[in-house]
Amino acid sequence: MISFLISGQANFAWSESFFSSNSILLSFENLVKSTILKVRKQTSPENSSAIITSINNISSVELTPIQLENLLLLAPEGYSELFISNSCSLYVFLKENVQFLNDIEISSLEANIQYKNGSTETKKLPIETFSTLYFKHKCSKQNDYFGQTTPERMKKTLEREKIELPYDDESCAQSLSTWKSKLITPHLCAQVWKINNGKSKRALLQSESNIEISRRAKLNEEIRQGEAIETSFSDVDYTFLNKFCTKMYSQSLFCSNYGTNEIWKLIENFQAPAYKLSWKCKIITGKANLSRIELTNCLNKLKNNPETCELKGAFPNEALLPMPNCQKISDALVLSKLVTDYHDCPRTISNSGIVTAYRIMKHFGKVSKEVENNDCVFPAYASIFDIFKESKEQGKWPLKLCYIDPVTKKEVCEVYVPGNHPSYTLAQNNVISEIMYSSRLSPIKTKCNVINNGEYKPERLKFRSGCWIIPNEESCTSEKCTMKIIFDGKEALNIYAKGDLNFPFEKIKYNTTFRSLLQMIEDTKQIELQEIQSLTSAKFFLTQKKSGIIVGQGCAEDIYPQFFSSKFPSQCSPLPFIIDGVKELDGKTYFVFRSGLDDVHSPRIVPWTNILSSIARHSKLHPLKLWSFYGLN
Amino acid sequence: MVLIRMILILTYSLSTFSKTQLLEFTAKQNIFNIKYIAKENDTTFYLKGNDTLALSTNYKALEILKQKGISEFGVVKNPNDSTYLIFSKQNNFESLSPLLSGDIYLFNTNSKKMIMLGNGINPKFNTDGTIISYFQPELNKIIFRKKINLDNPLEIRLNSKQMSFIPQVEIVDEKNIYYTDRNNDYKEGVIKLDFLTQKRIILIKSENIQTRFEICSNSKEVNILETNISPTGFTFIYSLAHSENDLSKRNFLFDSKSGSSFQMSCSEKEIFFIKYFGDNAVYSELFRFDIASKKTFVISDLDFVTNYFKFEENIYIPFRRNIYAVQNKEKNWTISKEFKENLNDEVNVK
Repeated sequence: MISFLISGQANFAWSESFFSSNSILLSFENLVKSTILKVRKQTSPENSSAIITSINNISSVELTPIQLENLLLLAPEGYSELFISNSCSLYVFLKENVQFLNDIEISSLEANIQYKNGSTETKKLPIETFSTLYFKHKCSKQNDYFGQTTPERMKKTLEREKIELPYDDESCAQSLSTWKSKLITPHLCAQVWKINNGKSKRALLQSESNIEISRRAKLNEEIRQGEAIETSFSDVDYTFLNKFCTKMYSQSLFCSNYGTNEIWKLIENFQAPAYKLSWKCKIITGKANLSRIELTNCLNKLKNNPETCELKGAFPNEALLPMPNCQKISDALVLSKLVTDYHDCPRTISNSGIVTAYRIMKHFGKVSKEVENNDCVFPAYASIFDIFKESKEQGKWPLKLCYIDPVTKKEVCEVYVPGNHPSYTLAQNNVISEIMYSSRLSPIKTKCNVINNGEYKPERLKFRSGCWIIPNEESCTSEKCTMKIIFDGKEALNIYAKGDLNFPFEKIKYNTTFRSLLQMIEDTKQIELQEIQSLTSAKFFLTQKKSGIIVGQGCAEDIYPQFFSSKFPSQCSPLPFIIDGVKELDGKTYFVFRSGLDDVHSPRIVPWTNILSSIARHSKLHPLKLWSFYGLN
Repeated sequence: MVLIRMILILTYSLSTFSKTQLLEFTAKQNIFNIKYIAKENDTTFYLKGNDTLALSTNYKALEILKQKGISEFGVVKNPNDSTYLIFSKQNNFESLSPLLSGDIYLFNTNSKKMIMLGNGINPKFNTDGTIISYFQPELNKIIFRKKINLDNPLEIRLNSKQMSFIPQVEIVDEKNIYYTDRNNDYKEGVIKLDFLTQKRIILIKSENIQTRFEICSNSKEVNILETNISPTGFTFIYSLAHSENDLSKRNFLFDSKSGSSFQMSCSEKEIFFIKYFGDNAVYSELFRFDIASKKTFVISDLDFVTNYFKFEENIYIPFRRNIYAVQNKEKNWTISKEFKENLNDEVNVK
């Protein structure tokens, strides 16, 4: 009944012409209008003469039936549900001064008063008086909770309540039922209302300039109150309670946020980490840091324009294009468990084994903080260099920067790690600074900055001094690169990279001291590796091991035949990959899949049949005939 | 002699474990090591060890290319003479980049002479075997050389700079070069280039980034496969005479609304391609379009075909741990089921 009435209220703004031809609705509209007028009258401030002077003689108070009915009639559906499940909650709202009736400010209430001497009367009471009396006589247990939701104690109360986010329809229904029955719930909803009220008043203040001073002061007070309360709420607490308090009347509406299979909702609800899409959004918006609102706006954009993800969201020209659309990425990310709080550059890194090995180490938290920075290349290479060092095999590191010494005219080479870093000694930029100094081209150790050819404008003042590294664009990947070094506006030196970054992702030879990336990771990072021989084992591993991921290597021509078409017999381009999720559809199994060429934030859903074909054919062509499919945990 | 014996025991056998009706291509040694077989002089190119390409003929066996480290080799035959293009990618299990160039050589089985042509991927001969082309992904250039003037490489620079884009190239002659490229909005198109005048005509441009093209040609016309990157997409195949520059004059050969296609190749009489079909496009088989009858046939039954190759006119499908022949010893199609889509877009081969 209430929901019917409330939906009638929502239709209040329909046109007169509509109502003129709908007599039932017209009479309903009149009912709502007259109720509003009644409530305005009932709840308006009472003149002082009508207010009772002593409350000590009162034994109990109740709202008059007509007052109660009118309040319930006009209350939003979400609140009505709360009032029904816990009758004291209405009075919590009244006492907390929650203006839950839009446009009606409640100052007084029409109440039936019973005095200690047995007499009764109906009178308008100021809301504070009524609340004090009502909680004293009718909701004394509920009264205890006011003290727990004061600004000072709010944070601890929320910590004690430990909000657990639902994860499916069943847990959501359970959560809804539990929260409806908790005595603290109306108090928390009242605080949420105050936060939201502050936000809406801020928007009002910003949109309207002609607000008189007294009203402006009142609005500012409400904004301050909302902000003060908000500091006690974590994002997770606020998001959950806000959804609960406004949607509790409908299980389907409330649970559509939690039983969802859409990554946008999961991130919005803090059920999935924001990094799953925030890195993509940073690139799309061009902002290095995103506020929560900016992230939400971006998520909405991705949801409403799924084609956006086909080209955008990865570093330009760094990943296999087109990427899946946003809906498909969402489907994959919901199932994905790979920890991806970073962004890398597969094309510039140029070896899909290094890309994949780095992603594995990042997933298991095995990348040292020392190498982390914003460069999308350096941390990957530095992590690989780290495992060489840990294995005491840095002597086998093949990458060097070389130059012809201006004095001796002989080639000089220095070990380096591709990519740039402000302090890491072996980072490309720092090695070049050292070369400039040791070859006496620079009198002091100068910081060298990397810029591309298009950015270098010799006529500009800033380029007339300092050290600038300009890679040769045409064939410059991070492992094979020639660079021009400009020092104080003059071309000072040509530096070139030497050494092929030929690292096997998995073992390819027996009796060799040169170990594969997987072997080194297993040995130095305490990551357990097990062979996976069947689809059943793969599914079992992914579902049973909380952090477990599967890695493998297969022929690109079988994994992505649309991208890599076979051109001659038995062509196989070995391509490492990571699988971190599984789903069944129409009796077929699909995996969440990222090859070392894919953007880390744009996983694809690949059928098992393609993966099986790629591994099986790869094993026939592999030097050791290995079945390249391993579970890592 | 041992090498020759290995080749002689190549045979077809009915697969014991698979449900397929196709004949399995078997040998005592790893069948995947065979890189090319040609009838002339019983020529076989095969992988020896992990780093050497060897050749066996009626008369003798010899190593023709030895590389440092484990390497991949590809062999492409000239349709009209005894020359072959050899592609070799060193350390391919270590460099782990499908888009990295390999070495490309021209080899003559009669003279045993090997000429290094350059670096790139996807080397191929044109229809009459007089022009060699390949793509250099690092420099974004299609390189082509006329066999009579190998020392003079000619190049076509692409507009696309995307890592995943590998162009299709069909060179009829210098005046009729077809290739695919992408514009700055990542949309793909088919371009016809008269290299002598450098006049370019965009034959067709895709309307979205999901559409891709493949091309192959015979002596009279170019065939264009227009399809979607997603398996559940569409397939069109049409032909355009080499003398035509106007795509409205094209001849539609095949269309399917449910299931994209890839790896098209053609001869004078037939067009082959792999096509997805079925609910959610979960199946993929090798298809054969007969140009004369304009009928399409499904010629495999493996459910999940991802690639195929040809040794001269013989077609084989590598499938997981095996390789299957789609023709029997008499060169008839082992499986040939006419493909039709009904009005509900349901595919009636499954």
